Order: sequence, then structure tokens, then C-alpha cells
Amino acid sequence: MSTTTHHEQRLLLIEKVLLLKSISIFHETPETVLAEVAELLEEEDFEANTNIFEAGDEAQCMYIIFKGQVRIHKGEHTFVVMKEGECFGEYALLDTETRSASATTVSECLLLKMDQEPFYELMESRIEVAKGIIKTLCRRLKAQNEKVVQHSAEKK
Amino acid sequence: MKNRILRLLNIRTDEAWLVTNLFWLQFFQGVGVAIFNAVVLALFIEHFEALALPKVYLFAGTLLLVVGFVYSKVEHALPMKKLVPLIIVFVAGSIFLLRALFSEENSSSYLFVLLSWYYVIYLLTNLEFWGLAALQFDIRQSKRLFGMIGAGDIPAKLFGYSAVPLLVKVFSSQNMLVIAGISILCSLIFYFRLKRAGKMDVHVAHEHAHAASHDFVTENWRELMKGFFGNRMIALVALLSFIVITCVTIISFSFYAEIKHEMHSDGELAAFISMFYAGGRIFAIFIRLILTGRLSNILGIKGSLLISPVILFVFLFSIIVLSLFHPDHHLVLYVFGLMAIITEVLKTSLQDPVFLSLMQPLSANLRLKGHTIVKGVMDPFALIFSGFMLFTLLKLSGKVDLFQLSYMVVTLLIVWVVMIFLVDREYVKTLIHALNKRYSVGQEIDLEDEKTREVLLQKISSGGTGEAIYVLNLIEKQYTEEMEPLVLKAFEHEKVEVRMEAIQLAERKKIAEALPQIEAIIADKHNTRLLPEAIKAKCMLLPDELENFDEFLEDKDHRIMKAAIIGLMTSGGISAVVVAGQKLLHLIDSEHWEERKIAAEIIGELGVHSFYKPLIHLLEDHNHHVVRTAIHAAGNVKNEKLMVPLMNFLLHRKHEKPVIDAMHRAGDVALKEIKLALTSDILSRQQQSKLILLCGRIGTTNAAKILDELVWKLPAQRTDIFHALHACEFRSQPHHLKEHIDLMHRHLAAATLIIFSIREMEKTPSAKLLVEALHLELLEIRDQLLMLFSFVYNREKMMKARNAFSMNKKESIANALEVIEIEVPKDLSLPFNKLFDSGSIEEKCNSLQLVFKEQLNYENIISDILNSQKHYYHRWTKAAALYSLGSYKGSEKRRWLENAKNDKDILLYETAGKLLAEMN
Repeated sequence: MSTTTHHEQRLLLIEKVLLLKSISIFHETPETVLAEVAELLEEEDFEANTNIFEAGDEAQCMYIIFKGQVRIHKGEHTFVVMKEGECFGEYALLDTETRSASATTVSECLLLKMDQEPFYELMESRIEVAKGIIKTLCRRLKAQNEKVVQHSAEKK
Repeated sequence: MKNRILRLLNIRTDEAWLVTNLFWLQFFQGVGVAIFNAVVLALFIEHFEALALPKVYLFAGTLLLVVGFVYSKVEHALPMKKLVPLIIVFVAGSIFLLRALFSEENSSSYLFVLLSWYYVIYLLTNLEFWGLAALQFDIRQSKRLFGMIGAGDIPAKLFGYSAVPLLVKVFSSQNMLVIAGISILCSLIFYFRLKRAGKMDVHVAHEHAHAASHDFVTENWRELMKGFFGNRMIALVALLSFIVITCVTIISFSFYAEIKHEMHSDGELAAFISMFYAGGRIFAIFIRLILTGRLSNILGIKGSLLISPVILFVFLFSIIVLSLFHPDHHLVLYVFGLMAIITEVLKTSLQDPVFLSLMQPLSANLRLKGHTIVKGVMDPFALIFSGFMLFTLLKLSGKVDLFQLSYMVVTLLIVWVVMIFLVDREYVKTLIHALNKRYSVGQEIDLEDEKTREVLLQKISSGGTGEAIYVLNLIEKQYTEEMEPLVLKAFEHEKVEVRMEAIQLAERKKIAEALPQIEAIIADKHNTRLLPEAIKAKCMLLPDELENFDEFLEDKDHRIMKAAIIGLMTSGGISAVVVAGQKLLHLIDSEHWEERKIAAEIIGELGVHSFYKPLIHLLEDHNHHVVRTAIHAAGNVKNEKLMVPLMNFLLHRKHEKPVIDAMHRAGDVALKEIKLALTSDILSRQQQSKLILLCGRIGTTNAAKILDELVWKLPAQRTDIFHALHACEFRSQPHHLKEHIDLMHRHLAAATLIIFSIREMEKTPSAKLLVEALHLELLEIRDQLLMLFSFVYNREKMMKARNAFSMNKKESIANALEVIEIEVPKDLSLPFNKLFDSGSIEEKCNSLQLVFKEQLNYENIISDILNSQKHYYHRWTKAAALYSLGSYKGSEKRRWLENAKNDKDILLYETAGKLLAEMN
């Protein structure tokens, strides 16, 4: 994996907070707490066409795209191409399972990585993080249920 | 201009439309009822003697009971959007019918029915209107707005009563009834406006639920009685209302009965009654519009309710004194007249809205039920009761004696005041209950109960693993000897995990009866999972019979060896301790890290205070696993000497999580090192935060004492310190009480400044991020204040209020503010509620402008956020303030940024650094 980790930060902490706030799982978390979450983010550079992780790898971190594009795929089949400001692998923060798909950079990328362990520690002391995530997950579940109901109604 | 009027009337912009429409709906109904009243009262008094009035009360009371009963049935069966027009049309229709039946030679019975019907239409319009209003607002709004909304009734009556003397000359009395009916029909216009805006769809779920559970409501009368007897709050309000109505009726009667003799013609009488009521309404409108909401906010429920009986008492006292020294019938009559106006005015402008507010913390269902009980059941009873009393009195004395009536009213006033105190006490309980409902935690299961025991036995015998273990945990919490059979039954469970739990429970609770089962496991030796626990249990339960246990010390299975060492060392026998101790020493000095790790585990499990030396040695081990296990063990050994190396790990950011856990288990023993670290300047902000929260987790009185000192030493960490103090169930000590209250005032002042700062900053587009940060800062202050309140005032209630705020629902917040208003002194609760009640920033600024005189501008706001020593702004707010300086061109910019560049906090120095680089 051809990655390089820059020690010199290019994103301000305050900018990381704003980036986190724009991501759905942190949308409900107050910025005062996100300032602490942001401190856990590590910047990682990837060259184009670099494999970030493979389907079946153990999932222990999530990524936020600050620059570039990332393809989520299984073999040759592409599910989605993710762009700046989007995140992938966020469920890995909550549950250690294997990756269901692979992620490969489409162009040169600057990603922000958050590991599960420090995130768990932060969640223990900052209940707001967990509350915000639960709210977002509930909303996603509700939307999913509505889709299922709508889909089954259309079938009938 | 509109905003000024709304501010004067204490109405928020988003409430204005609804309040206006409810006001007009009430107005048109009020005009109709007033015209009807004035006409029928004049006709009645003209034709009948005083003795007839109590008969009307008796008849009207009975009629109202029937109407109340029918109303309750209809109210349950129909949603609000159908109920309101039905009542309006019915009332108007009944008036038209009475007009149709009018003839010049009216019979006495017609006039009798006519006056009684006034009480019916008054009741129906009242029930329908307040039933609708009660569903639109929460407790805070109802206290503030009900006075205003109900005020529609006062100009209506002013208009209605004043119009009668003029209109009666143009139209005849009978045609005035038609005007009354038309006016009531006009209120339909506002009903349709509200319906179109969806305001009639409130609590649809509740109404649908009614429709669905039709069986439940078939016996509405019984339901109402259940509501009365089943809910103390409703019962007390109903009884209080009963007393109030009785007093009002007796006072009005006294006045009506006597005034007839003072007037020379029926025209004079009608004009006097109308003008008398119209004059009263002018006074009422002032009280209701301007004072009701504010009075109930300032005086609280009890104070507002006490106003009427106190004023009446003063009047009656003067009458009684007058009667003793200078009995002047005319003067007494006028005092009674004045009292009749005042009681009527205070009843409509203060009493009724406060009664409704009292029921707002109840569920929507109970609220409607309570309202129907008060108006539809108790008020008629009060009318019948007063009618009966007056009738009896007049029969006995043969005349209206105002002095006699004064004594009667004084007696009722005493009951009235007692009832107010009872109602107030119940109101607080109801509020707490309303908050508790969302957060109630199940009570502990009573294991003494026969049926519960049967269920538990069944779960232990054949329940799943989780169920059986849960039952064993329950048993451990409430263990008595009678529960032994339950524990022994667990040894028969098919799952190893359950049997393991049973052995451990038998060991911890020293259940000797479990020995046969434990010895059977040891004898079997094949069950290697259960054997270690069985060895330890046997050593604990039968320490004198441990022959051949030495062989376990040499077992190749480390779990068995470990159990044998622990078991023998806790058995108490000297030779057993020596043998096991030698084995332990061997493990400590072993070349193999696995054995050193076992040694650490054993020391940890033994938890002997004096076994700290080998642990210090193991904490310095070069193997990561051994060190982690030794850290864990240190938490159990609880020796102060072990806390020094543990703290060193923290300072060097090594093994943070296991060290924090170990210190947590060590409890008070860890506090000395924690305090030392927190009061020195060696920790980062995150490290400080972790140690503060650790103190909270330790939660002892000593931990709270340290945290209390830190409130003043580490002001920037107050949020965490307050959370930690809350976890310690901290109560403010007398010597710190003044400081805590002072801190509350400072927080309130800071919140006020922030509200005004937000208003100012909203004018600057580039400060959007800062405005959002200031909103968060406000929430942070609210949370800190609630925790501070919980340290000084009722902890449980303040925490319920805090939870209610976190629900972020309008009704929960309203209930929370109400609890704060009751529990916290007014000098703190009133500004708190102004700051954190719902409403826009503009409205909050308007309500706070009397206490905030500072002139704010962009520069002094930024300067305050970055440098204030009065209030320590959150690091995020400071960072947002710096970030907003990007497009600022003022001369102060460089100084602010350079100061921030030297801050220890990365969030600040980094933001400032970037902006400085851009400037250069």
C-alpha cells in the first residue's frame, strides 16, 4: 500500500471540526465536543489507484475524504465513487467487523482517519458523541423503513 | 408598533396569530353571553323577590349537572374540531328557540328557565373554549397567555353589557336575545380560521385513541368520577373551585337581593346591572391583559390564588368592624357591591386562568377531564350548595341579612385559603410526576414475594443462560438465607456459565449448604472450567479440610494453579499460606512472562493492601502484558504507594485506560495523587479532564471535596468539574453556599451578556460560526446552572429538570422551567426562565433589557470572549471568535491573534497562527 503520512498538518483543527459537523453521523454532535473528536483525526495521503482496504479486512477505522475521490467496489463492480466531504467505513467506529467492500483511490487523496479505540475512549467520557450517533442511526433506520414500506406498497 | 404591543402583552411573535384568533373567538361568544345575561337578569329581578334567586341556583345547579354529564359524553366521543362547532351551534340555537318562545305575558316558569339557561350557555361556552385553549399551549405558555386569551371575554362583556341599555331602546328585550345568538354564531368564523391552520388537529392521536377505545368511555360519568377520585390534583382543584363558586354566588346574591330595593324602576335596574358589570370589566381588562401573566410568574401559583381571598377578607373584616361601631346599611351594601365586582373580576382574570395552568402538567386526556370535572361537575354542585344554604338561611331569618352573610363568607374564606395551600403542594408533586414519567426507573423486584420466587425458581431451573445469571445477580443483591434453595438449584443448570455463577455466589455469600455440590465438582476433576472456582469456594467455605490441595499448586493448568494459590492464601491456615506464598514468590521471579502475569493476577485477586511491593516490581516489568495486569491488580490492592507509579504512567500518556480504571477501583486511595497532579501545572487540558471525570467516578465524599476546591482553581474546566460533582451526588456545604450562589448569579449575568452578544453578532455575516458557538455556550451555561442548582437546592428535582431540557421537547422544557421556578429562589429562577424559556433572541433581549445596560459592539464582544476573567468561555467559542476575525480589519486584530498564538490550546494557537500568517 503506497501511503505516506505527513507529520505536518495541513488542516486546522477548527476546519476538521467543521468537516466533521458536515458528516451525517456527527451532525447532531455539538461542536464543543467535536473539537475533541477532531483531535483524534489523523491525516493520510494516498496516491491515485491505491487500495485503502480490501473487502474482508478487519474494520477498525473510518475515513473522511478531504481531497480526492475514492471508489467503493467489490472486484470490478463499483458501488459508488465518493467525493470530498464524504466519509466511508463509519460503521467500523461502532462495530469491529470485516469490510464488506474494498476502497481504492481514484485520484490523489488526502484522507482523515479515525481509529476505533481512541474514539471509544472519547465516547465513554463524552456521552454527547454517542447520543448524536444514536440519533443519526435512528433517522437512517427510519428512512430505511419508510423506503421498505414504500417499496412493498409499490409492489402491491 | 406591533412588536411593542406584543411585548406589552407578553406574547411571543410566533404565538400572536393563535392568541389573536382565540381572543376573537372568545370575544364573540362573550358578547352573546353578556347580552343574554343582562337581559334575563333584569327581567328576573324585576319579576321576582330575593328568595327566588336561591331557587334558581338550585335548579340551575341540577340542570348544569345534567348538561355537564352530557358534555363529558360528547367530548369523549367527538374530536375537538367537531365538538367546538357543535357547541357553538347548539348554544346559538337554544337562544333562538328561547326567543321564539318569548311572549309578553311570560309565565314565571319561563323566566325561571331563562335565567337558569344563562348558567348553561355560560358553562358550555366556557368548557368548549378552555378545552380548546388547554390543548394549544404548554404550562409556561398557559401561565403567560391564558390571562390574555381569556381576556377576550372581558371586552366582550364590557361591550355586551354597555350595549344593552342603548340597544334595548332600539330593539325590544326579546330581540336582544337574537343579537346574543348571532354574536355567538360569529365566533364560528374564528373556529374555521383555526381549523384551516390545522390548530384543531392537535392531540389527534389522543382523540383517535378515544374513538378506538369506545368501550372504555361508554360509562363516562364513572370515568369522570374516577378522574375526580383517582387524581388528587383534579380533586383538589375541583374542591377549590367549589369553594370559590360558593363564595362568588353568595356575594353576588347579597348584592342582587338588596340592589332591587335601591332602584326605582326596572329600566333603572337593567341599566344599573349593565353599567355595574361594564365598570367591573374595565378594571378586569387591565388586570387580565397586563397583570395576570406577570403576576402568576412573579407570585407563583400560590401567591396568585391567595390574592382573591385576602382582598375579600379585608373587605369583610371592614364590614364586620363597621357593623360593630357604625351599622350603616347603605355603606355595607356598597361594600358588598364592590366585593361582587372584585370577586367576579378576580375570578375571571386570575382564578380561572391559574386553575387551568394548574392542570397543564397533566396529560391532555386528564387535562380535559379535569376541566370538565371542575366546570361541569363541581361548579353546578357549588351552585346547588349555595342555593340550598341561602334558601335555608332566608327561610329561617325571613330576610337578607348582609352581616350574617359576611360571617358565612369569612368561614368559606378560611377553607379557601387552606385549599390553596393543599393545591399548591399537590401541584409541585404533579409537576415532578410529569417529569418522572419519562425517566422512571423500575423499582427493585421484591424477592420476598411468593409468586416472584416461583418465577425465579423456574428461570433458574430452565431459563436461558442470561435469564438464570440475571436471577442470581438479583438474589445476590437481596440475599437472605431463605434464598439458598434458589442458589442450590442453579448448580443443576445445564449451562456451565450458570453453574460458575452459582459457585461464585456460594463463595461470596458463604453458603455452606452448597459444599456437597462444590466437592462433587472438585472430585470429578474433569470439568476444568468449573474446577478453579470450586477450589476457591471450598477454601473459603471449609478451610480446615484442604488435604491434597497442595497438588493443585503444581497443576499444569494455570487456572487451577492460580485458584489453588488464591484459595490456600485466603483459607487462613498458616501452612497453607506458607506453601501458596512460596509458589507465588516463585511466579513473581519467574523467567517466563506468562508466570509473572499470573502472579500479578493472583495479587490483584487477593487484593491484600500489604502486597504492594511485588506489584511495584511488576509495574516496572519490561513485558507489556505483565505491566497491564499489574496495573489492574494495583486497583484492587488499593495501596497509596502504588498510585505514584500509576500516575507516572498517566503523565507519560502510557496505559491511560487501564490506569484510569485501576485508580477508579482504588477509590479514595488514589485521590492524593490525583489532587497533586490536578493542582500542579503539569497536565494537558485533556489529562485534566480525564482526572476530573475520574474523581467523579470515584464518587466519594473526599473526591467531592477535591472537586469542590477545583471549581475555583480550574475555572476553565468547570463543565467537567460540575459533571463530576454531580456524579458524587455533591451537596453544597454551608461554608461554600454563598460562593455557589454567587457563581449562579455570575453564570446568569454571563448568559445575559451572551444573549445580547448574539443579537449584536447576528448583524455581522462573517460571524455566523461565532453566533452558533455562542448558542452552544448558552446551553453549556444552562447545564452548569442546573447542576449548580442541584448542589444547593433539591437535587432530584433539578436533575429531572435537566433531563427534561435534554429531551428538547416544548412541554418537557415548560415543565422543567416550572419546577425551577418553584424550587429555586425567585432572584435566580426568574432570570433563568427568561434566559432559557422558548422564544427568539430578540424577545429574550426585550425581556432582559431592564437588567442589561451595557453597550455592545463587535470589538468588545470579541475582546470579552477572548480575555474575560468573569466567565470562562469554551475553547470552541474562543476558536470561533478568532476564526470570525478573518475578514475583520480593525486595529485590535493583530493583538488578539498574537495573544492567542501563545495559548497552550492547539485549537486556539493553530487558528490564530494561520490568520496571522495570512495577515503577513
